[in-house]
Amino acid sequence: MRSVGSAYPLAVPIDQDSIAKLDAKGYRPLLAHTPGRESSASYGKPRTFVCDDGKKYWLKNGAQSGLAAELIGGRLAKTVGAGPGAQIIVVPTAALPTDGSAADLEGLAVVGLENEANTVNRTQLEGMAPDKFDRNLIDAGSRALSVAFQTWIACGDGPQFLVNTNTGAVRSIDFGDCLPKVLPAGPPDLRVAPIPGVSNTLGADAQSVEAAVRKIEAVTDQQILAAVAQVPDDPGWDAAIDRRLAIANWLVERRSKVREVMKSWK
Amino acid sequence: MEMKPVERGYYSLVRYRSDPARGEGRNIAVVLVDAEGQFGGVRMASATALSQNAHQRGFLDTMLRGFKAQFEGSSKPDLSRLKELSDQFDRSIQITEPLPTAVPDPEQTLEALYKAFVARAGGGGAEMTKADIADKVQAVYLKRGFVVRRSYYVKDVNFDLVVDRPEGGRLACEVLSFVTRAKTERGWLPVERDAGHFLYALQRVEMQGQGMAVVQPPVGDSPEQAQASFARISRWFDDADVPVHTPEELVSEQLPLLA
Repeated sequence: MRSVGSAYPLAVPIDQDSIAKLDAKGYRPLLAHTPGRESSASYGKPRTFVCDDGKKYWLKNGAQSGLAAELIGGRLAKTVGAGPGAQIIVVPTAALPTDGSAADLEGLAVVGLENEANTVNRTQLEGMAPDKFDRNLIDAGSRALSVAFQTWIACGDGPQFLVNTNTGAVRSIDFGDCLPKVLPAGPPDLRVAPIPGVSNTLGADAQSVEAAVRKIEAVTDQQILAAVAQVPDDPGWDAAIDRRLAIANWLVERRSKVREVMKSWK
Repeated sequence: MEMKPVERGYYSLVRYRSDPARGEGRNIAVVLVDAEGQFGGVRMASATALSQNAHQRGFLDTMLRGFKAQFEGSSKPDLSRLKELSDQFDRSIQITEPLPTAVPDPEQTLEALYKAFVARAGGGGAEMTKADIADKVQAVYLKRGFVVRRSYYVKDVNFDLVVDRPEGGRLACEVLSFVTRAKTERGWLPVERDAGHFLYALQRVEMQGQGMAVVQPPVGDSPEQAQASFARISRWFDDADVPVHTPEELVSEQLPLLA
């Protein structure tokens, strides 16, 4: 942490040199310490691990669009405030469960998505009685931000989300099928993840949309560069520098198109 | 990716149930051991977080401190001992079955487990006081072999910590916390005054460029006043070119030796 409110330059060159310069600094992974629960509800069957910063992360060793997409999506989600951050995490042998499960993570750098307390996913929300959680508490502003963000980074057909049952905030997660290997040309397609028991237009009001779009438009070129740089180039990451450069340019181009697409949300 | 070998240790959580019949409990400490009793320790919640009842609080504090003392000698409790304790303590105090954990560094691992299972679970509270942060800064620098002085006067001004570095001269360090609740009507003013005093002191003893601040920022549910005050002092430090680090950066990252 250096300061509060320090502004990035508005525009920086987005080219291989800029990415390579950041890559040259290397990356500093967190180290997994101890395993927690496993989820079968997501691609790659993520499992929680407590890491050396004392936080729990959902570790994934596979993603449809490559682990780089998962990491870049998570980094950007944190930047705009749409979801929990993602980290590069290394799993030493000593951190693995002694029953042999999760052995596929041994010694690898994988992606960890920060666990958020008091949240439920779509399936859990479906099974939750209305008297346990009032759907009217779901926050329109964060729903709009989630839609804008998942539209920007082209999440797959079933964008994933969490709902915080304390605050009602909607959080974007699971970016493994975003930033597809063949980046789609043209304007973004609107991505509205249906939330069980909630109107599909919650968050589509002008005020919520405007606030959400502003957050996407406020992401600087420098922040996009930082999101695509310092990524492991191990198998399964699909992190060649030309792909990451293409992603960065594609994100910059789409950033200004989210506003128009969001207006079509009715 | 190549990795340095990492030791395996085992941890248990110490849980306290004020009413064992109800089965509800909360984590109040974490215990770390290894198979042979070579390393380990106890990280416990602050005394005030243990219980609202003064009598219970005193009992828990004494019990945990006694347990902690067992780790101070060269022969520490090992995995077998922790398993025995886990079997014995199953009423109002529970010690969970030991589970494996990687231990790159016992102190860092204890801290990580504490944060994950005790502090975040509400047992220890996420509050890091100024004294907690100063302890952490001191431990980090001592571990690196530096001489660290707490509440130390340089000429006629006092600094929270002063680190003697082999290069670059002394490093004056200020620690501030915006997480602990403001308990007085003055809110966060004392924290701002501490920050102001630190900047004045650096000038007064001509140590500009040799200062560093470790600041626990407000958390999500901190009052707006804390956020505003934090932003204010961050601007001051930024203007004065004083680097600012979070306590987390001290543990998980290599804190720069230079300011």
